[in-house]
Amino acid sequence: MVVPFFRDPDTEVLFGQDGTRAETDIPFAEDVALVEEELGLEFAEPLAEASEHWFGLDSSEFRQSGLVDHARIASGRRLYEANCQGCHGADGDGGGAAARFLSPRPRNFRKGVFKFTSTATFEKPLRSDLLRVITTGLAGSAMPSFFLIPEEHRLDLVEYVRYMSMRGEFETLMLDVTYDEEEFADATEMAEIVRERWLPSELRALLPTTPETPDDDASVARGRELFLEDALTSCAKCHGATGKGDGPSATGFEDDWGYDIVPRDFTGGVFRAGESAEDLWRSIATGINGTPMGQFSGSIGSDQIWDLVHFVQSLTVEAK
Amino acid sequence: MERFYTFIFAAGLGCFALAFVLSLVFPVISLGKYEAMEFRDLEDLAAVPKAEFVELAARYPEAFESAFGTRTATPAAYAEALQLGRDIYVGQGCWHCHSQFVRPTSNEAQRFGPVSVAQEYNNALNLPHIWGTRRVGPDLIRTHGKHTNDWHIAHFMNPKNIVPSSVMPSYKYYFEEDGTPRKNGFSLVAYIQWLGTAYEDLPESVKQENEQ
Amino acid sequence: MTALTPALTPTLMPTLMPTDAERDGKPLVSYWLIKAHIVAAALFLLLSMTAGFLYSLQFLGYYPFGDSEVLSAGHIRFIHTNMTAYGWLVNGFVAMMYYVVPRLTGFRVCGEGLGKLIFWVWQLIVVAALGGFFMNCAQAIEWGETPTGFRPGTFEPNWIPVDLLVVVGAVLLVVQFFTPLYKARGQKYYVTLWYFTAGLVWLALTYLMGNIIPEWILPGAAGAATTGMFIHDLVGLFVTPMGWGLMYFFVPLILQKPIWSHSLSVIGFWALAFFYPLNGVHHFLISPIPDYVEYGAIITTIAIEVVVTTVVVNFFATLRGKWSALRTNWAIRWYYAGAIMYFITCLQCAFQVTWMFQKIIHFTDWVVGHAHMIMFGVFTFWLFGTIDWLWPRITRRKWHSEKLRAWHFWLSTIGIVIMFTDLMIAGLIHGFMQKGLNPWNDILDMSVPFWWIRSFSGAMFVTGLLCFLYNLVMTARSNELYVEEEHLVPATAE
Repeated sequence: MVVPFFRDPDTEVLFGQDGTRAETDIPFAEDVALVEEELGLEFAEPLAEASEHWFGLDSSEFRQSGLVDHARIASGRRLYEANCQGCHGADGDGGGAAARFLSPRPRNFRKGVFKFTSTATFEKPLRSDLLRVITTGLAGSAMPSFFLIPEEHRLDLVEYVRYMSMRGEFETLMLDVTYDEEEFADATEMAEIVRERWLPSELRALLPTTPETPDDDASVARGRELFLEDALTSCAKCHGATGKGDGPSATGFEDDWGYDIVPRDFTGGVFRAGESAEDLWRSIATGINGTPMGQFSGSIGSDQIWDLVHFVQSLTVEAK
Repeated sequence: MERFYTFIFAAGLGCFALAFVLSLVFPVISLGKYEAMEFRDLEDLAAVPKAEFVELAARYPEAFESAFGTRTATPAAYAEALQLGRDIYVGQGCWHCHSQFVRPTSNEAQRFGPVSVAQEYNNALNLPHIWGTRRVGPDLIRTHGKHTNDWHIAHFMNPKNIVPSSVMPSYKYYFEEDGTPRKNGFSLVAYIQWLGTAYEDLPESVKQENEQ
Repeated sequence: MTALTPALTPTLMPTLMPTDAERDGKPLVSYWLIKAHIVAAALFLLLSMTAGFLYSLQFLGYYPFGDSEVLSAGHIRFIHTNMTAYGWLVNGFVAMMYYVVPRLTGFRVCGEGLGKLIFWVWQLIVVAALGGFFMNCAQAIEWGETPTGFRPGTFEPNWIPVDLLVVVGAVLLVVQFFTPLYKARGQKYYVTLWYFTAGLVWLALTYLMGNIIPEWILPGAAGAATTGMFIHDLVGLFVTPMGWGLMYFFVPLILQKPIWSHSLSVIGFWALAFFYPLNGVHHFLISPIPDYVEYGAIITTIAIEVVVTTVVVNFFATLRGKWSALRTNWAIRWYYAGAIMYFITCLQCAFQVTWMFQKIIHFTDWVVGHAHMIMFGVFTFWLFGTIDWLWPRITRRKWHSEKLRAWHFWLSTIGIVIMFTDLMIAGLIHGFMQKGLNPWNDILDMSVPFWWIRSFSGAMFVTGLLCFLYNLVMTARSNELYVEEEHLVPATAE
């Protein structure tokens, strides 16, 4: 099976009624052309070859690596084309035909970075993380819930997204390194890096080590103290003393995909990764990848995170 | 018997009047006894603009101002948008492919949300009701909050972009090239995002009884 | 004035004035009014069918005017249904009434000037409705999308008062045809006149009820009960009586044979009058309308099926001994093909109206197939048959082409059978997939092949209609005179 990655934008046929390809977040093919032009070296073809060799679905190398469940890919791809491609793009670069109307933008999977995970910062998501996002959608963004797709099929989708992501990450890495070092990057080495990152055995979820503290005034008060005054957390610096996302240093933030972002306004009651206590615990504990929101698990205790959760929830309640 | 007046009065008027009483007057009386069945006029519906409408105003301030003459989502602007949006929904025949009631059967509550109750239709935006009789697309009465405004705009610009199988026509003439809504576009999105709020506004007791 | 010489029992066989009879120095039947209405009807049917075909292309992704707000697919659908109802059926039935009512009563219609006025009022209605649809002024009442003249629910005028015009048009029709009916009040009415008299009263009442109450008086669930009644009454209390009126008139006339049973005629009419109006709510079953009202509608709808059976039996019993007419006479062929489909549709209705079926088939293509079968397969067929019989007689020209007559019939018949079967299957699958919580795009993907077949069968209708129209025009322009065949001269002719 040939996967439609890394193709010339002119020949890219999407299903948009007007047949045009939407502008992409990261016009990868253009960057490739740029590298060829600036460095005067042949890059596109060797990259395609290397990509096919290390991450091609037909490559025995990739098959043996056990990074993806190959049995799910065909079904996942079909579902991706029917449900996801319009926004996330045929290549998974977040540049589907509908993407230009959306803000926040659809995720570009090719960076290999996912915001809402249960793993530590900078680590790859678990399958269950991707499944959760597909199942519930992301509140306040155009990502809807796909709960009507049977779970088995959603898992197929997860597998295909993982596959797109690791292959995209490899290609992006190759491009960056080649550009920096001005010679064709060592594909074996890069492939090894990407494989290390995605190796399933390396990934584990950060889970609450303490049961949820009672959601009472005392907990909210402790949370407030942490939120406002604790130097370690310094939540208020960004999210503001009232939780409106207007803290003193809440300006000029940019995420890994190059978009201006602002800290979450808690009083609106909209939380992308879910508004339940568990969801908020996960967001605070593991951070939000690709954004300045870092991981707090480790720097503060599990029970303190619960207190913060209760405080944040109290802000929402007050607003309502 | 088989003469002029028989057919005018007995058949023409008599049978019609009987049906009028049995299948219209009776249900009107029964429905009138429901709890929280007060009629809500447009002013009442638009008194507190919904968050989605506020977001539209914040996202496209200039376009919003040129459409409604204000930069803030005022109740007056909301009322205007709702009525106009409904006019477009009706005038473009949206209701021929989208129903507006969830039945307590065929797993519809699982798919769309809480089953419809008579109370949520007793308002100015249901004169006449737009229940529809065909679902080429899904039911819309529980649309509020399911998608964001930008999703709706992208979808109206070209539904196939989001759902390749979609057979819905594009409504891009209600938006600028870059997706900024014109007045009709604002109104249409505002109306679609309003669908379902009448149910949410019902007293908890009515909702609980319904959702049991 | 009682120049009627009933040769047969008047209740079983229409007693007719000869077509060339005169009243007060004027011809009894005004042929030019019939011609005008038939031509208008045929043109609007072409418009309606073209619109329907174009609309079906939207489902396949080939709708040609997708970029235009004015010609949007939604507007085209309004045109499809409303042109059928007000352009084709009303014009067609009025044309037939101009032929039938004077010949049955022996009196002329109220006036030719009034006839002219009625003609233009109804064409204005249809054209104004078209304009209203293009201007986004339609209202949300199925089969009654024609604008009222006000923004729905408010009193802001939008200057397209089609509904008011329809009321005027209906009242003018009442004046026009109640004049001879009133003059003949001393006679014992033939069955056709029962249906026509009541049908005209029902048209006015139904229209008033359906277009005023849900828009200004009753919102929501109560309004739905009203529009349900409107949808149903428009078909059941205007189109159906007119259609059966035609059948009761033309079938015995053409077969030269009385209707089999007068008792069944009586049962058929009174049961229709009694049960039909009670059915309305069945368009919104399992809805917020109170359950007991729905039960009432369901039971009376099933009762209707019994009635329908009696009427259909009556007609087939009439045909007994004259089966060869099905081969030799196109009009009879259209009529009985329509009657069979009428029976099928009504039988289907008795099932689909139950909650058991509603759960699955409501909101699906099944209903679309049902509506096409009744509007095209039955009433349009009957009008086709009538025009087929009448056109040579009012133009006094022979049909231009026998072949085209045959093509028209077979394309239409095979087309509707394909469409009905296709949409019924599609509807069932859709319904079960919906119940099975399949994602919506899977349901659409499943439907697309069925929609291709639907468009194909629609193209068959349109082709058949084009054959028919060409034949109509060429017949009117031909030089070959039509001579009434001996055995078809009405037995009562003086």
